[in-house]
Amino acid sequence: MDSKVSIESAVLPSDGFQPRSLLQKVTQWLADWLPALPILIVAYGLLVAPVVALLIQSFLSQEGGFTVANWAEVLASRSDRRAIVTSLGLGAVSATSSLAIGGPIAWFISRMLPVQRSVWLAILNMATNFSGIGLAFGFVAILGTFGMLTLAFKELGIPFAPPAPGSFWGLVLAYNYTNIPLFILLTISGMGILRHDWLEAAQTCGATQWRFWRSIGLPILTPFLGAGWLLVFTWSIGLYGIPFALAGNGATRKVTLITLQISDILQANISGQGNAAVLAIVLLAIAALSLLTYRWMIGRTAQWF
Amino acid sequence: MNYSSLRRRHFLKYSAVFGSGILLSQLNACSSNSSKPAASESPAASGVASLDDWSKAPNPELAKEQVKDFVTYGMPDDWANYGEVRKKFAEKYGFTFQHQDTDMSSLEEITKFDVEKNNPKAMMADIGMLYGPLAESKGVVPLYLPPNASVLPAGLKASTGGWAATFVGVPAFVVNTDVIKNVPQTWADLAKPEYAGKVGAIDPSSSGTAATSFLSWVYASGGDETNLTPGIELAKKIVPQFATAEGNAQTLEKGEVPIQIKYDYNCNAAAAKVKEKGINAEVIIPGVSIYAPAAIMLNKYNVAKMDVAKLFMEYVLSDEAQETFAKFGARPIRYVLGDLKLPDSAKANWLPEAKYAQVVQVKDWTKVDPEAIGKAWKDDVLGG
Repeated sequence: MDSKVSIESAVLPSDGFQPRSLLQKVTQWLADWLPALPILIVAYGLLVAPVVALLIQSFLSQEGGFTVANWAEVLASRSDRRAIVTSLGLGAVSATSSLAIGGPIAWFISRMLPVQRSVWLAILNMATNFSGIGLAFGFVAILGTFGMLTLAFKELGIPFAPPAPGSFWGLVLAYNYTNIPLFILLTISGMGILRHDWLEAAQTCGATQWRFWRSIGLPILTPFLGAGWLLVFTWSIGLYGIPFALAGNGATRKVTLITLQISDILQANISGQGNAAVLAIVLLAIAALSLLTYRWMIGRTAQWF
Repeated sequence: MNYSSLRRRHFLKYSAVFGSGILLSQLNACSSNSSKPAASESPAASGVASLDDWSKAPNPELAKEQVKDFVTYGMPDDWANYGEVRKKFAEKYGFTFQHQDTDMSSLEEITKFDVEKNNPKAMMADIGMLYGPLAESKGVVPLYLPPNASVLPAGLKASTGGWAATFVGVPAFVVNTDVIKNVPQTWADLAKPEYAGKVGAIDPSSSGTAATSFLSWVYASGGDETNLTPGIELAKKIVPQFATAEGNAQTLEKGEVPIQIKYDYNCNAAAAKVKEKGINAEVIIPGVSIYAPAAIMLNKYNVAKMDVAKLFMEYVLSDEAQETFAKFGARPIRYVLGDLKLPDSAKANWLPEAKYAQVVQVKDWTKVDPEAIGKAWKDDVLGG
């Protein structure tokens, strides 16, 4: 700092230096900050402010004083704990099955000719964007109790019963409709890293396909696959539209999730809305933690670029 | 160019200032929130009704204008005959009105009154009586009781004001007998494997009907309002029997949800409705059940409609309205208390008294805690 100041004063002779007017200072300040204004408004207005408000709300009693009762209540409540565990489980199962199914598909698509690949990418893009209530309706129409496929199988005499739309596995199935394409789109760029030369080089040294994947392919792809897993996981635990439409209202619901529990509390809860804020913070913390891990993983992939 | 203002440290500093700014403004808002009700309870400018005016007698002239949009929660026309009650109410005072109802559970109504306090929609709602004290403690009901509520003993009306028992129902179930040939006769029967997926789901953590149904399971299993445990065991056996589809008139008719738990009067109405379409249905009083009063509660925050709300609350306790409830099959609270004689014609829709032989009175309604019931349901029945 000091050296910089001395250079400036050396360049501008002190007797000829005009102190900048207030107007100039303001214009300078505006010129510096104005371009950042949109992102600041978005960041503070839509992210920081709500988070701060939520944090405060989670510590407010119904009378408006400070309390930790909301946190104690949520952490002691078996139904809230079950909602948290089920949400995490659903996210993990959905992300893992997306990895298991989507990973190999991403690999094959990345090896296709450009024309073929673009067709597949278009289809996957469409599937990824078909989500929310529309997907729930489609699921019920095809695999519901009176769904097209369910009835068709029944007519054919095949003993096949799809999981009930509101059950855990029904939700996994519905989630995966968008999550698998999402996973493929997220990881397909990473697949390009693995060069065909490497496989050939390994085979020249007498390595089998399996040996190549175990020692070279998977270790290199792990950060990409892990990052995809984390994104799908985070995305899944935050979903509300699909489970709301599939799992039914409070009475008929078989599965409780954090997001469903929050909406239940907002609709009707004896001990006020503070518990909803607590659950929202829990959801936020899970998402933040998983995104931090994601950053760290993606950082490890940088060495390949 | 001096870019020091964009340095990371500055940025963090501004963020911190901004963040604490939000924090302070929030805290301010909170403290001013808590003082707000006191401020608005002070006498308002003349001509505009304020919360203070709740204690005054209703003005039928003002009510005439207010009644035009008759907005209620959880009081549809086919609920305990409220449709006919409203019609007779309008005839009596020469009102014309447009009724609009959103059906919801008791706890949803109380929550809705509270969150809509600055923009109230409904004038009143029907609640399970056990939610009355909760409505009072949440401060959503006004300091008003009509003069004719004086016949009700403590416990059947608000201690300060805002709600009063209207009629009594018995949690029971209606069965589509075209689908269910072997009709269940008791609560415990519902746990039998043959009824799996056939029983309409209920949510005692939010709905008055459901909470009193759960309480009747407690009584049927030997417990009472201070000991819910026996009922929890029974509930754990009934919950897996719940249908995935919602219980309503259509699913009863189609047979998708052929067993639905409701108050006896609503069971009667539901059975009558499907019988009109040639479908057989039966109402079962499941052995041990309880007499569960329903209540009317007014929305304190809807001061603009207070006159019609007060008039209506007074009307539902009148002989005429009480008889109208009776015609539908609901036992009017004043009849139950021995304050009203009903002509036999008014009891034509009632099930034979013999069916009610095992129905019991709850020992002490003030000990019935909806919060404890909700917690038992969520944590012990569903979560356990």
